[in-house]
Amino acid sequence: MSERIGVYICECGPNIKDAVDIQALLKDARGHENVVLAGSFGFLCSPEGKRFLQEDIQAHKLSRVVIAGCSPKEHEQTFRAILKRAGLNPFLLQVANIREQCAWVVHEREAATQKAKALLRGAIKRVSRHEPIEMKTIECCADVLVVGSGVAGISAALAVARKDRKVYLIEKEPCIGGRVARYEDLYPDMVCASCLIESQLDAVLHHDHIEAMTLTELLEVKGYFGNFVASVRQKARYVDLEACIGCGACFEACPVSVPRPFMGGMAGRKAIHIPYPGALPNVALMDEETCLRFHGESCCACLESCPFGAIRYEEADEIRELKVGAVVVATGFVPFDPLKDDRYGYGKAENILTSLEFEQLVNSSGPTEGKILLASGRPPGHIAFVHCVGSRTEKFNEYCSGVCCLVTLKHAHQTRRQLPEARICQFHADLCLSGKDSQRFYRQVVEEDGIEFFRMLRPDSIEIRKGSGRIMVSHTDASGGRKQKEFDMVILATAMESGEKTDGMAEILDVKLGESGFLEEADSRLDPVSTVREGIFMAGCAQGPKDIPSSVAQGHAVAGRIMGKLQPGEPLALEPMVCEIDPEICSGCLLCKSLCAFKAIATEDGRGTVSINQAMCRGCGVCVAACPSGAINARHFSTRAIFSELRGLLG
Amino acid sequence: MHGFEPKIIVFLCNWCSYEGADAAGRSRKEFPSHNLREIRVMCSGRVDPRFVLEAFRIGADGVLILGCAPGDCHYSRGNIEALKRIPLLERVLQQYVIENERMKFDSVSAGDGEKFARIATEMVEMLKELGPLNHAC
Repeated sequence: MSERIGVYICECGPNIKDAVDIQALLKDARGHENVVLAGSFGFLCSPEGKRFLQEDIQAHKLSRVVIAGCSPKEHEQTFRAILKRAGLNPFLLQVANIREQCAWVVHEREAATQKAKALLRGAIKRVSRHEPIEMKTIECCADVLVVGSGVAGISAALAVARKDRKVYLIEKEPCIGGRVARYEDLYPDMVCASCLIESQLDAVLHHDHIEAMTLTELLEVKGYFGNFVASVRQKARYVDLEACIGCGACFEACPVSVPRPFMGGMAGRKAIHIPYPGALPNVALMDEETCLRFHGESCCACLESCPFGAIRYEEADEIRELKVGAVVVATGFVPFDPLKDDRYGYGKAENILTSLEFEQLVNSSGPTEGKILLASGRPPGHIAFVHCVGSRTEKFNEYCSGVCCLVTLKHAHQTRRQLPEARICQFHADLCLSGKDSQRFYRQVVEEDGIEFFRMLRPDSIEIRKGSGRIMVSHTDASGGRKQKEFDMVILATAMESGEKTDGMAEILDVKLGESGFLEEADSRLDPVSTVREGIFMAGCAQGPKDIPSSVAQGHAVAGRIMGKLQPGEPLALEPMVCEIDPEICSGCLLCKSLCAFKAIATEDGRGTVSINQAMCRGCGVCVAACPSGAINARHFSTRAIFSELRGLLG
Repeated sequence: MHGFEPKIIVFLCNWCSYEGADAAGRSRKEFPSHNLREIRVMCSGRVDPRFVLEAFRIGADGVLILGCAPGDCHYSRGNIEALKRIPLLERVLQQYVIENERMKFDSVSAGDGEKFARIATEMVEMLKELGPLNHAC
C-alpha cells in the first residue's frame, strides 16, 4: 500500500505568511509522490491547530506527516505527541524549519519562497524514509551509590533514600561528615558546624535505607545507567561496628602513642583510636601502621580492655559488589599545597598554617582545645591572613575558589573574639564577597573587629619567609610599592583543588575532567550535576569549588535528577533514536568500538562482530559515519533518510 | 560571475550549531541565508563522508559542516571525530577536482547566531568568487 503523506504549512500568523508565498509552496508540495493533501493553518501550535491536525490526520488516514513551520526545536515534540494521539508512530513526522532558517532571515519574498520550497522538498523526501520507532524500556535498579560523605554526599543520600530505594554511602575515611564535621563555626552567623551537621550524620547512620560504609573505596563500576555494578573495598577496622560504643577503654590500654602531625605534636593518639572527638560513627579503629600486632608482636591490650568484646583481630578487607542504578560522586576538594611555592614560606618557619589547619587549631576539640596558640604555647600578637594562596595565578590555578575570602574573614573574626589585643591583618588583591549575607558579614568584621586590610597589586604579590624569630611578610601594594611587616603567625587561605580522589573517580567512572581539574558537567549551565556519562552524577566540590549551601543544594539537585529518572519498580525508558548494528554485514573491524564515547559497543562473544548496547548508546551516529561496511544504522537519522533529504534540498 | 547564487548544504548538529542557526533567525540577521540548505544531524560526527560527496554530486556548490565548539560536544567528542575526517575528505575531493575551499568544518555554539551568519556569509562570498561547481565531472 502506498504511503499517504500530509503536508501542513503553519503560517505562524504573519511570521511565515507574509514572508513566503504559501500558495506557491502548497502547489509545489502537492506535486510530490504520495502527498495526498497539502494545506495551511494560522497557528498549528494553538489548541485549535493541534485539534485540527489530529482530526485531519485521522480523517485522511495519513501515514506520514510533514509540517513546515517553526524550528523543530520549538514544536517537534508537540507535533510528535499529536501524531501519537492520532494513532501514528510519532517518528513518522518531519519538520521543515521555514521560520528561523528561512522566513526570518531571507528578507526577499521570492528568494524566501524558493528556499522554503527546497526545505519542504527535503522534508517530504525524507519522511518517506522514516521508520516507526517503538519506545523500549529496560528493567533497572533504582538504588544509588554515593561516593563521599561530606555535606554534598549526605544531602544527596538523605534526599534520595526512601522505603523502596536503598542508598549505599561509601566513605574512604573512618568517619562520615567530611570537612564540615571538623569546622568550629560557620559564617556568617557563626553557628556551631558540628552541632549543625551532627543531626544529619545521625540521620544517615540510623536511616533504614542508607547503608553507610566507612573505610571504603570504589574500585570499579561496570554497566550503564539503571544497571551499574560497583565493586568497593571495605578496609578492615578490626573493631566491630555494632559492638563498640566508643567508650575509649582500649585507648587507655593501648601501649602505642602516635603523635599528631600538627603544630609540633601537641596532642597524640593511640594506635587504636577514634579520629577526632565527636567523630561518627563513634567507633574505634586500629591503625595498621602503628599497632604492634601488625609488626610481629602479640599485644592484646585492646582486646583485654574492651568491656564489649568488640575487638576483631581476624577481620580482613572485604570486596563487595553493589548493584545500583546511579552513582553520585561527592569526593570534595583538597587544599592547594603551599609547599609548591617557596614564596608562601610554608614549612620554612613555624606558625605558618593553612586555613584548614587553622580550622583545626580553633576547633574546641582540636589539639589546643580551640585556643589560638603558637607552637611555643604563647598566644600570637600579630597575625596575618593571606588570601588567594594558589588561586587566581596562572602558575597554579587561574580560578577563584569563591569561598576563601569569607572563610578568612571568619578566621579573623574568630581570632578577634579570642585575642582582643592582637593586630590582625589581611593581605588581599580583591575580595570576593558574593551572596546575600556576605557584605553584611564583611562590614561587621571590618567595623567591629578592627581588622587591617592591605591590598596587593596581584593575588600572588606576596613573599613570606622566616625572619629573626618572627615571620617576615612582604607584599607589593596596589600602587606598586614594596612593603614589609613582621608577624607571629601567618594563615594561608589555600585554593580548593580537585585532588587525586576526583582524578581517580574520573578514571574509574570514565568521566571527563574539565580544564580546572574538576569533574566536567554534561552541560555546565543546564545540567550542572550530571557528568557526561549517563547515570553518573556529581555534587559538591568534586564539580568545582563551592560553599556549604551550594554543596547541599547540589546534593539535593542530584537527588532530584535521580528521582526523576529512576523510579523503583518502573522500567527505564530508553533513548529511541539510537544506533543498531546488522551482524550479518559487520566485518568485525572494531573501528566503531574505538570511536564510541559511551562504551556502548561490545564485541559479541565468539562471533567477531560487535553489538550496540541500546541502553548505553546515545545516538550520536559517529560510529555510523565511520563504519566501512555500512553495517550500522542510526535510527531516525539513517543514511537513506539523509540521502533523500539531500536530494530534496538540491532537487 | 555575475548573478551566481551558490547552493550550500549546511550540516548542523542538533545541540549547538542548529541552535546557532536558529539564533541567527531569531535575531533576524542580515546574511545570505537564501544560499543555504540546512540539514540537521544529531552530531557533526554523524556526517558520513558519503553525504558530502553526494551533496556535491547532486548540485551543491559548497558544504558546511558545523558542530559544537571543541570541548562542548553533547556527545563528548563527536565533533573531534568529525574534524579528524576532514583531511581524508579533502583528499577524496581532490580526486574529483573539487576545491577544498568548497567544504568547511567549523563550530557554532548554541545562541551564537552572529558566528553562524559570519561563516555563512564568508562561504557564500568565497563560492561566488570560485563560481559554480562543474557538476559534470
